[in-house]
Amino acid sequence: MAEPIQVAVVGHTNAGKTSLLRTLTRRIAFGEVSTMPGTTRHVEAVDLKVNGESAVRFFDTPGLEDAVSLLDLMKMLDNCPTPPDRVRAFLRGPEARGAFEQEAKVLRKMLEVDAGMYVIDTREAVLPKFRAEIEILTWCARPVMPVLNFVRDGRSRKDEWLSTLAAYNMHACVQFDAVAPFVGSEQLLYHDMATLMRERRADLSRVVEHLEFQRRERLAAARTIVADLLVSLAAIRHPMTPEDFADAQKREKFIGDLRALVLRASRTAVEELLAVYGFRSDDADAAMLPWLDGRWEDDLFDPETLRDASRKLGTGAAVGAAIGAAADIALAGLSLGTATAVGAAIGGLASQGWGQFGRRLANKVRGVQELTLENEVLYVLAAHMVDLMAALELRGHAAQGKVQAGTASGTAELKPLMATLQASRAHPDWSLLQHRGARHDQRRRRLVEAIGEALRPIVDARLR
Amino acid sequence: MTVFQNGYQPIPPGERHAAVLLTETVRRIEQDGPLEDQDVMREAFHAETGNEERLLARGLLLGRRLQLDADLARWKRAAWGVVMLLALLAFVSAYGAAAAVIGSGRTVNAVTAFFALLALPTLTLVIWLLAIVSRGAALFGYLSFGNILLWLLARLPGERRPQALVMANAAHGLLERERTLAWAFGVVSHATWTLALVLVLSALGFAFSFQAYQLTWETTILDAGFFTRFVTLTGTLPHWLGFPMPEPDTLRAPAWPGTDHRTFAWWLMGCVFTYGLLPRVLVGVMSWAVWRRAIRRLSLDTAEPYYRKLLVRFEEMEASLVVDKEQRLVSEAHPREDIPKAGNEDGAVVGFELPPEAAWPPSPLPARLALVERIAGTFAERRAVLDRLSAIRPSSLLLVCHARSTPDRGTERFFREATRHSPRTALLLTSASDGNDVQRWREWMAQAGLDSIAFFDDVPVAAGWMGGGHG
Repeated sequence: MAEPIQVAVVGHTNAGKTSLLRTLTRRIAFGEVSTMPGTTRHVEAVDLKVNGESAVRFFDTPGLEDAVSLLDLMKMLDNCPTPPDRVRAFLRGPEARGAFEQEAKVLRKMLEVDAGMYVIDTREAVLPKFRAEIEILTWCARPVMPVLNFVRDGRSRKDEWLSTLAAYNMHACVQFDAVAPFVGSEQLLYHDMATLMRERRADLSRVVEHLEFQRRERLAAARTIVADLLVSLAAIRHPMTPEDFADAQKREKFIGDLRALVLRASRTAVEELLAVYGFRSDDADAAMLPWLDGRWEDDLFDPETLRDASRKLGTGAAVGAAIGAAADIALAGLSLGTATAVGAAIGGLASQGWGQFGRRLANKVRGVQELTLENEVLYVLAAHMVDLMAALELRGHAAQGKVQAGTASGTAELKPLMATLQASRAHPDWSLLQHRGARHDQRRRRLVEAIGEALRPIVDARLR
Repeated sequence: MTVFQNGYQPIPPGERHAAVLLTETVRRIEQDGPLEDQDVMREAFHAETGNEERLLARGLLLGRRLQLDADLARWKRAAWGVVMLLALLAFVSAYGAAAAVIGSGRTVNAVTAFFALLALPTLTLVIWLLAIVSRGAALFGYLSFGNILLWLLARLPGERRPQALVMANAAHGLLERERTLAWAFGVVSHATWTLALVLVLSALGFAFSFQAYQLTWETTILDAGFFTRFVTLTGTLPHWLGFPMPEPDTLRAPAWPGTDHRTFAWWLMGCVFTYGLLPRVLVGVMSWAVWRRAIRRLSLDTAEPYYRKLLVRFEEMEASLVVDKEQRLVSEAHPREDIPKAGNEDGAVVGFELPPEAAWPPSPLPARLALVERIAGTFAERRAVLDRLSAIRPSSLLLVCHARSTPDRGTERFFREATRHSPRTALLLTSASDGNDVQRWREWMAQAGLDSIAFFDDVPVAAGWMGGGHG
């Protein structure tokens, strides 16, 4: 690729310029974001790289704060045949180093770049100061792409802004929500920029392709993590001797340990998902992320939620009731693995190997009970993970608020996935929690792939 | 060339597959817990620019630290020896069968020898073909010479490291993922069998050259025509390749004294060559070509969570560059002016940059006011209001702003000029959405040095403050 396309990101103070750049370059640590005005006071360059080469160089600029007075000052300048001459005359003058130093930085950059992005906080009314900003920007004679920020906010005045921009002959514009970007709006942004810079169209479409490729890979990685977790948990099979089973205290402890194991594995998966999306777990502290504060974890073994899941799964019976011995110990989420496993084992015995058969027979002879996770738990977990994936995919890196934990709403669409998952039930050795080496088992890997594929339409539907 | 701390050098294009293998091995090792990689990450980041290249550089550097590259070099040296060993094994099994026939006396049952020599190589070839056709290579993946080679290499005597086994598994997994396992192992299998069959042919040639054999056939239930047809049929292909075809007379009564057994011996050797060696050489070359191509295109699966996490870390290392530094005057001097004298007993209320739908004027306000005005903020409006204020010089001035808007230097400039015209100035914020808005303005006022201005977010309180100015 040739020289990177240079783009200055400009706008009123606190309109979300740095946030936008964080989202566009996926760099959570870039710049400084706060609700205070004038947080960015220097010009900072940050590159968007495509295959290791800089494709777009963004310049984060200080906010325009006093455009009304500046416009008046610039109008008074003499001997300026064209608008850019007027800007240059101002930059040569003393005020460019004085009261308007911040604005001078922006305008100096605007004269150098290929294009500008004008970030607008659409919650603000279209006041004279904003019109002054737009007017000054047009004087720089560079293509300007307005980026409407906070369009999803209830107070957004998008339409007022659109008509104002049209009055300044800015018809192409992008709606963007730096805090919760629409899927695909980023691609739209580059696409529309290509209409402003026709000579860089090929470069910009390469950027779009690159972004889409990265997005797909991220999503694939996320699906693998979730599928891997589900396979591992479905495979769990904890043998318990008849003596231990009879002792209520030991049984309690046993169940507690198993639950702790499940929670630990789920937490690790959540952390991995956050890492794949570029969130460090120390950023995402408990207060900020409901995914780490344990609220969703309580859901996993909550009888009410499980009953609800049971209804959605169509298993009908109340949790535990169908499984005989499990009913009276009310494990809420853990069951004795006979009922579920036998069906799966018989169905897929030929493909899953005969080793299972011998193990089960031996356990039966010795009277060993095996604990497994009920489908309802896996269902609730899967629904939560889909929520998290969707939230991460939709979330911009500048979000200072929370990832919203949606309701675990997957209903019918999770059913086929649950059916596929049953194959794992017959393979206690596929649980990575107990057998680390299982990761490389070819048949297990194929199942993980299948679960990942089953997740694809569910997550995609959430992103639409 | 930049010299790096860990001695990283760019991967030559021909060595890319080795880097992929090392990286995959490191991935498997790290599944048991991450390796310390701060300096390696940094070095890989600076040495390469592409995503995959950086991952490979990291893998290569860590692999070197674990001496995986030494293992790999050792494998390369040892591989030929092991292939020779395997070939010997194949030779022993193939020739052993034939020797049972040939070595038992001066009479050789030619048809039995044909099957004894060709059965095993053909069977293994069919298994390989099945693996290729099924694209799965399930059984072949474990029971082939390729896998045996890998297994033996990982367990070579000498300085054995547990990682060698991981590397063997990584190689297996990598080939499987790329769906080239059958082809890659095919190269080893076919090479082994080619060598073995060359040995078999040499042994046959030697035996037929220096010993007099009688090649015959025997039967209990078949007729002589069957053998004539069998030999003619199997001999046709070798005949096209230049091997002599036995005369029908020879075939009908091979045990007849004076029969020429030479052509019959050539037929046997021709069959071993044509049906044993030739197909092996052909599929061997084909496998080698497919394998080479696959190796050239070998790449990391960057959609793996493990690699995505590393890529995120690399991304975070990308630096941004400050190109136009901040040169703010630490505190712009705003000389404290004398408190202006009021020229009027009444107060003034000015709304500044309020959104159009904001209620105006705010209520309740004191009944007597010298000026109630709202402006959107154009330069002319500002000028006009400031002129009015300087003329009136109200006893108290209440500026009304929209709490949710962000205060800026334009606001500051207006405030500063307005305060010059009244002894008491206050700011009233309306329609705050929460405490954050008010707090933001409060902090901004302190930062801008506007603390002489009183601050309200409640209309009645502000109205009370205005009334308090009387008398």
